[in-house]
Parts: sequence; C-alpha cells; structure tokens
Amino acid sequence: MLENSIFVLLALFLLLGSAGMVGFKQTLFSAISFMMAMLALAGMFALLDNSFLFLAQIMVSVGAVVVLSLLVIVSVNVKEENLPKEPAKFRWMLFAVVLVAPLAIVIYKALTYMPHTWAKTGEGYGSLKMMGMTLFKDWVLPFEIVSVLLLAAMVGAIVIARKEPSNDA
Amino acid sequence: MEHVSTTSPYFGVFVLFVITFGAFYATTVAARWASRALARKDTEKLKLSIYECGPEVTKQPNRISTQFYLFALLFLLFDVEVVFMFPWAIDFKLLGWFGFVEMLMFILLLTIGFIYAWKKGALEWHNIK
Amino acid sequence: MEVAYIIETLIKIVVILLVFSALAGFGTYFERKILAFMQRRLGPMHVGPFGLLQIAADGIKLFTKEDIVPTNAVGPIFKIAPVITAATAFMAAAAIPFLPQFTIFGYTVHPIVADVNIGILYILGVMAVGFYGPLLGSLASSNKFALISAARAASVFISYEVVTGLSLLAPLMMVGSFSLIDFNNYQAGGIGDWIIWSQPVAFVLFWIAAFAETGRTPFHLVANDHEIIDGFGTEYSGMRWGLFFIGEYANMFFISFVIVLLFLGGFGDGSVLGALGFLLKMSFFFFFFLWTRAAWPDIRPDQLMWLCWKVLMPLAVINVVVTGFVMMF
Repeated sequence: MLENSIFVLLALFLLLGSAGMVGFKQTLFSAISFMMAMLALAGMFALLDNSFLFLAQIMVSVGAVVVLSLLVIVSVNVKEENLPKEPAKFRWMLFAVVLVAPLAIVIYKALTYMPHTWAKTGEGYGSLKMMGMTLFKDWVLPFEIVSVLLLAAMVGAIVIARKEPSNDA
Repeated sequence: MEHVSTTSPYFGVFVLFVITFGAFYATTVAARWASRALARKDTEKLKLSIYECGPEVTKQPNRISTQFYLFALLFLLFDVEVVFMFPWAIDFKLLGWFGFVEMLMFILLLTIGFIYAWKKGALEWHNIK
Repeated sequence: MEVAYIIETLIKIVVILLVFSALAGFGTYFERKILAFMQRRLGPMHVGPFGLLQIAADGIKLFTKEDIVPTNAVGPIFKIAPVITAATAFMAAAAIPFLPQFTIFGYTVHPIVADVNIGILYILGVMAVGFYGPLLGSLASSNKFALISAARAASVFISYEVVTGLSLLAPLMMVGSFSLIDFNNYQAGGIGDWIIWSQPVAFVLFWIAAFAETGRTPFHLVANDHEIIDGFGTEYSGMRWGLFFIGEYANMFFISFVIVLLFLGGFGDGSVLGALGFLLKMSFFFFFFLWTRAAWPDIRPDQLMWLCWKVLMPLAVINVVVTGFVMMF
C-alpha cells in the first residue's frame, strides 16, 4: 500500500516535470522541471531496489545532464521577447498526445493480458556487485565498445565545442 | 556493526527527502511571516534593484562563456566512465586478472581521450584570461 | 514493512534534523571563535557567556530581516534554491552511520537512516545534487556577480566530483562494498587496519576534493567575498541566505564523518571508546576546515581547474592502476 502510494506520487512528479519542461516558456523553469522529472525517475529506480540504475540516474542524469542543459541556457541566454512566438504550441502538444494515445492503449492492453505471476528476483538483484559480474563476465565486448564510443564522444565534444583561438588577441 | 535487515532500504531516503524539503521550506515561509510582522520596512525606491552599480534596473541577458559548456561536456563523459568503473571496483577480487586487464584497456582508452583533450587545450582556462 | 521500523526511521530523521541544524549554528560560532583566536582576537564575547548566545542572536536577526526578492529575479526558483542546498545536505546524511549500534530498552537501534547498499556513492551523488542550490539561486537572481558565481559553481563542483569518484575506486577495490558499515567493519581491527596506511594517496585526494565539494577556503571561489561580493548569495537576505549556510556547515560535518569512516577506522569495534574516538576524529576534520580558512589564501579559478584536471585526476587513475597491480601480485 505504502509502496503504491509512493509510486503514484513519484509518477505524478515525473509527469508534471516532463510536462513542465515542454510547457514552460521561461527556460529556467524548464530546466528545474527537467531536474524534477529526473529525480522522480531516480526515485522509481530506488523503489525497484535497483541500485545501479538509481546511482547512474543520480550521478549522470541529475548530476551532469541537467547541468549541461542549464549551461546551454546560460550561454545562449536569449531575452524573453526575442524568443520565437509559439502561438500553436499547446495545440501541437495536444496533437502529440492524440498521436501517442493508441500506443498507450496498446501498452495498457498488453500489460493487462500479462500473467500476474511475476518472476521473483534473486538475492542481490540490481546491486552493483551483480551488475559488475554480469557486465565484466558476460558482456565484455559491448563494454569495450562502449569505451571506444566514449572516446569518440570525447574527441567529438572537443572538436565541436572548442573554438579556434581568434587572431585578434 | 551489523547491517539493518529491511526489505526496502530506500524508504528512509524517501521520508528524509519529504521531511527535509518540507521543514526547510516551512522555515522560509515562517521567516517571511516573521519579517512581514517585525522587519523595518524600507521604502527607498532602488531597494529592490539588484546589487550592481547603476541607478536604473535594466533587464540584460546574462551570458557566460561556452568554455564552461565544454568543461561540463568533458565532465559528463568522465562521469559516465567513473560510473562504469564502480561495479568493477567492488568485484575486483572476484573478477581477477580477466577483469583487471579489461579495465586496463578501458583506462587506456580513457587516457587517450584525456591526452587528446590536454593537447587540444580543452583543459585550459584560456577563454577567461 | 512493520510499523516499528517506520516509527524508528521517523525518530532518527527528526533527531538528525534537530541535532545537525543546531550543530550548523554552533559551526558558525566555532568558526568565528577559532578564526579569532588564530588572529589574536576574542571573537564573539558580548551575547551570553563566551558569546555562546550569539547563535540565538543571529537566528533572531535572520528571521526578522526584511524578506527581499529583487526585481528581475525569477521568483519561484529564487525562493526554492536555498531549500535545495539545505535539504540535499541533510539527505546525504541518510547513508551515514553516526554511531555504533546500541541497545536501548531491549531494542537495538542502528543510528543510520537508510542502510542502502550503495552507501558512499549515494552520499556523493546527493552532495553533487546539492550544488544546484548555488547554481539555480545565482541564475535566478539575474545579478552579474551571481552569474560569475554560477559559472564557477558549474565548473568547479562537477570537476571535483570526478576526482572524488576516482579517488574512491582504490579503497573500494580493497573493501569490496560501498556500504560505510562495511568500510567500518573492514577497519575494525585497530589502528593498523586503517585504510589510510594502505591508501594514503586516495586519502589526500579525497580530502582535497572534500574542500572543493563543500566550497571551503582554498577553493572558496563560488562566494569569494573580495572578488564577487557574495556570489550566489549576493541578492539573498534573511533566512534564505541563512539556509545556504546551514547547508554548507551541515555538509562540512557530514563529509568529516565520511572521511573518518572511509579512511580512519570509523568507530572501530563499536565500543563506547570507539564511538568517542569517532566523534573526536570527526571534530578534528571539522576543525581542519576552519584552520585552513585561517591559514591559507584562496587560489584562482584557473589554478583550481589546473589542479583538478592535470594533477589530481591523473594521480587518481595511476593510484587505481598501481593498487590493482599490488593486489594482483
């Protein structure tokens, strides 16, 4: 009962945060809604006792991705009156909601048809110990590919974000 | 000291989250009430202006250099790598040489990226001299 | 989940909130006294015996200051930012065992709010979220000094987060668990078992990073008084400003606890003597924060980044690799 109510609360925050991120005109409000949604998602992972996802969510999404978006907001800080006019914004959002509604119904139907006997997770499921054993024993190649991907991302980030020093110095 | 045996260890975190945010927000609300009742109200014209020089409050866009964005981007990548290294660190004794060599390759690639960033001057503070 | 557990958790949370809010107040008193003695002054003397009631006087003053939200500030975010700082500082306390377990009226109490299995990482993650307070506060107050403070907060805090994580890897490899309770049990055998002897580099790196994460003096750039007024706090008044400081001092206390638990044996076997030693060691680290403030100048932001990216990070990675080789052979 308690877990259900906590879940509902977190889900509410997640939905409100996501809606706020799209809906607010003031960019700082969008950023803080984004943060709220990410925190609520971390809370859901904690509710599932999945430590690794909780940790990754807190450290990467909340700790880094939201900062990145905040820094984008500050480094291109546009005056509010210079923002593009979006008179049909909420109409578009409504349209999007109508568009994904069938998908939501399909997911709901699929979930209700599922058998209600869930597989029991073993001892230590979702802990970093189990996660590490799986990652470094069974998924070695994907892990190393991820490291190459991160290297490529780093090089790309530097090439894109770094301006060549101008000659007027 | 023994561990606490409970089925939902994150319950305390959630309650602490709710209580701390509630308590500290209530503190600011209480302070607002107290100050409305007690504080000496100053009716000077520029009281509410921001603390900068200049008499008129104008709304200017506050911008910072994109250099900070690059730092944040690099941080994000290193953060992801560190998050990958944590599960390895606690399984270190169980994984043995195999895991260690794996992680050495990972660290090698990380170092290549790090040296590239260093050589390209991405770690300098040069835009803000 | 039984009712007794819920009640126990609630009681622990209330105790932690009250004790550390009070300690944060006393922290400002200690800081002023210690700084004063180091500069051959007396510090607060007039309110109460030895100026001890200065904290109460400050509290009254903070509550009765006029509550100001400047023009052009983004109101709601301006108001929520100090709450974020204070609340996240206290949330980090959830995974810290403050004392060894004790039995009272036949009921065994574990003085830890949430015994999560990612313990130390949870603390670091939540402390990292804490810097949204200064960041959002300064962005919302639309002040130029606060803006510089925001830029510094964004670059300094996140850079040092990587150093903290990397420096922790080597001790984690030895202990094989994230829980601070396991760290404590690993070192329960006495002074010889302390991790500081086998991981001195990791200890120093973590300690340096602790100064950056709490924003204390050698790295006091986010609110550096003589350059950028009060940084993120420039536009704040009254209790909102006070909440930033409650957060900062609570963070100092909690990180002192964490350093002792990680590297200096914690409370050892859990005897009364061990618990007293734990508090003493913690007090030393808290005192060291204040001592550094009296003895060291601030460093420049570019020096800070240089130190983080070009000295501490390579050192931390080398430390991990060397530890790996030593443990393998």
